[in-house]
Amino acid sequence: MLTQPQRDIIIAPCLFGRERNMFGYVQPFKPELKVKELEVYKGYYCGLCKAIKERYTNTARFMLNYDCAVLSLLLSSMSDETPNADMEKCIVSPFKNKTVIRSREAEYAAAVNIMLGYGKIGDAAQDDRKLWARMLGVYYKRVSRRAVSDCPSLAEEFSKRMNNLHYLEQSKSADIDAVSSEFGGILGAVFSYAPYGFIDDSAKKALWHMGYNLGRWIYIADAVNDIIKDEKTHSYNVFLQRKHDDAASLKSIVREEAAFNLNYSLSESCKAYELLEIKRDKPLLDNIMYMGLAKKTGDILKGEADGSV
Amino acid sequence: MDPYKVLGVSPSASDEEIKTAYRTLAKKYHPDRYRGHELEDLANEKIKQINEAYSIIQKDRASGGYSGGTDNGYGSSSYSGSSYSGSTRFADIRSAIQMGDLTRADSMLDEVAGRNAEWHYLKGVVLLRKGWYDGARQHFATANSMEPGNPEYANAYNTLNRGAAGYGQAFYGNQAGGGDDMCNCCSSLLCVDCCCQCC
Repeated sequence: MLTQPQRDIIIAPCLFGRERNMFGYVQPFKPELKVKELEVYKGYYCGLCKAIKERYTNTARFMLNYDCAVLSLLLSSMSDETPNADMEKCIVSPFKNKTVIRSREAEYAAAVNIMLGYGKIGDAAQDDRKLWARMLGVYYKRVSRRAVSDCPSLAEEFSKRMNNLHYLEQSKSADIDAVSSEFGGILGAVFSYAPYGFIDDSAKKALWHMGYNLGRWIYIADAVNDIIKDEKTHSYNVFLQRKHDDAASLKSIVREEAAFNLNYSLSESCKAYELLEIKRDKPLLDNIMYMGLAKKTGDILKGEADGSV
Repeated sequence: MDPYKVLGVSPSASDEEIKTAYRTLAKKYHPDRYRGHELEDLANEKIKQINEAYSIIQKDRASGGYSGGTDNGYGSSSYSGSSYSGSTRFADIRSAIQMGDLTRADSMLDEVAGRNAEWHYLKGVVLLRKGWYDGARQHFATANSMEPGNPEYANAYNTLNRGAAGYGQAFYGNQAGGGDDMCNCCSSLLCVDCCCQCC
């Protein structure tokens, strides 16, 4: 049922190794999806993959992630134009036709995907031991330059926020708000800088708020999820900055606080989402916003998030 | 504007269905939910649209025997500001917050020497508007414990916690048929998932 998307996503964690990988948190809750909604979701995923191939390079498709597919879906659902759905074969599915939804918004999501993916590599490359990351960095420099020139203002905001975040992490910040709001700012920009005519000023404002809170949620979710792993590898984690005996006991201490921060961020993100004018695929988006994210939150707080939804 | 589309109902919907849809939407975008919020103006715009759509439909169907004019129960009431009793310094800070000038409010707060309950409350409000919820909650909690009887501080703290609790419940509540136990709910979800895989 899920053969095609899953095969792609497996590549990414392998390449990213033990580095923090903040992708893949935003997904629908599949048991509650209708078959046609799942088809649309997968269609956007394939559409994004094709958009990356066409605008960037074929090999850059390894960076493909689910979160950007959701971005593509969200923006397309606000557009007046109905996107085209075709049946196509592709490299991971050479025999069976797959639904591919091509929309103009996938182009922006593709640029975002490359930028975030490359930022990830750049992050890892700062660490000298990560030879693979430096090699990939050189190899994908041209690709990322193209993404940067496609969305210059987003790229500027992205690198500014990434630098702030890097600085905060280097100085071992214990302030959840400070670190998570930098990542929130990145997603706020990602959501609201989309260059489409149907996004007016008020939609921009709501999109920023939706993205900001989603980004906050992703950052905190990832930090909670990685507490135990980060302690073992002596990596930075905002929760590990407080006094603690071991990571497991710390996790139970911070659970209440984490639950508040995760749920409140999501409730704010939903408040903003509800103000957007969604023209199609609303049940699928509702599923992601109200069920997929809630399920993930529950799993993360219970410490069993790694099994995908 | 298609009023039926705004309310998300078909033109053939019954009066009762329309009323339910209107009530649900009006609750969703109720000014209370967005009061003092960054997106307050957008929510007010939305509620205006919903009220308008509802009154258009009601007028259209007036021949059907509707009594009592249009229901404008949920207006975009403007936030009149909270009743403050503190010093003029705090009053200035409050008005800065009201005008949305968070940077100024924050720097004024930093200059205040005595940090009483009201200071913590206002700091919390600034952080909340800025999207720094964790800090906001801590300051509201401090304000609350310094001055337990104050309804303003208690309200701010409770609203924040309710906002967080409300999110999870909407989903888990739906799934477990009223059961509050998250474990229960997830295990039943797992069963549902298994069933899906079988067929």
